[in-house]
Amino acid sequence: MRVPRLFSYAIVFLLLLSACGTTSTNAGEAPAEEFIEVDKFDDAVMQASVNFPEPLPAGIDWPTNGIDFEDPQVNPGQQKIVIGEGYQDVYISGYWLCAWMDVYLEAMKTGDSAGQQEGVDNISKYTSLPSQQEHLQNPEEFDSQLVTPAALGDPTVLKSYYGSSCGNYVENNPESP
Amino acid sequence: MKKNIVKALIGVVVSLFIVAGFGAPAQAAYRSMGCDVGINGQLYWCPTSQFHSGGGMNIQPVSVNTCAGSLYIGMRDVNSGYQMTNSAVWHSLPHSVRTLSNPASGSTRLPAGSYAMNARINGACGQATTTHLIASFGYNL
Repeated sequence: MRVPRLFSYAIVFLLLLSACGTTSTNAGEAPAEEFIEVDKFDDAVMQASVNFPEPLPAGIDWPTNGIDFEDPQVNPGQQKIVIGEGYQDVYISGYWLCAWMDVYLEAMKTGDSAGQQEGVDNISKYTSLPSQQEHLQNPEEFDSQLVTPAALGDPTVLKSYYGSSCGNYVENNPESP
Repeated sequence: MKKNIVKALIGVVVSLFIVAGFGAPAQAAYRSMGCDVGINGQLYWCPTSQFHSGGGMNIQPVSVNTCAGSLYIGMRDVNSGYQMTNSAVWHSLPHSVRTLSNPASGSTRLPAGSYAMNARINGACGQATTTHLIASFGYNL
């Protein structure tokens, strides 16, 4: 009877050992992210625009000017850049968002309430986009601090966001506000 | 006696008012964000972003292997690709809290936007291109 008891102790010990080993390995390591080289980014953006699930406003096209990685505002230290896989989808979602913000702000300027509603209806879809579901950490704050006030007629945060964040969209659409 | 009761009631109401935070400035909020960081001086553009409604933001790395090099982190606007803040730099442990500022004006008031980390270390970690980083952010400061 002594041998089976020792045997069972040994099994329990080995199981505990393997569990400890698994835990320490997983805690110290994160899965390696894939990345895109800068010279492949424009192609990745074009592919992301082809697969994008929502339409742009009438008369607006996907960007022809991508990111200039030698622009000092983009790369102040002129470092070699590697881009995390998925950023192309985030970037194209941002362009789409800026286009609908433009529609909203333009409609607000001219008193076009239907256009304003169309703008905010589309802006409210932003946090449901697959790229944002995957990569935006605080969608509830975007909705509560930008979308909801805009829907209620207060565009303060939306205007600030558009002014600081939509330069690439404006460059591609110079007639926008 | 009646006056004392009234005073006590006023005290209770004022205390509740303070505890509830009415009249106080907006409180700072915190979140953590995980991403990769480029090794050997390569700058890694993280796709993970956070919406910021405007105002101050600070940052503190809480978990990263710097491979014995200095750590640099700046915040990028994901829609324009522009780096919106100066790089915060840590040359050694401890990785203390740093306030981020606008590179053009030096102001710590940042505009609304969707921000992601640009991160690099100048140490070498064998053949790896990136290693993992978790940072804690304070915002609405």
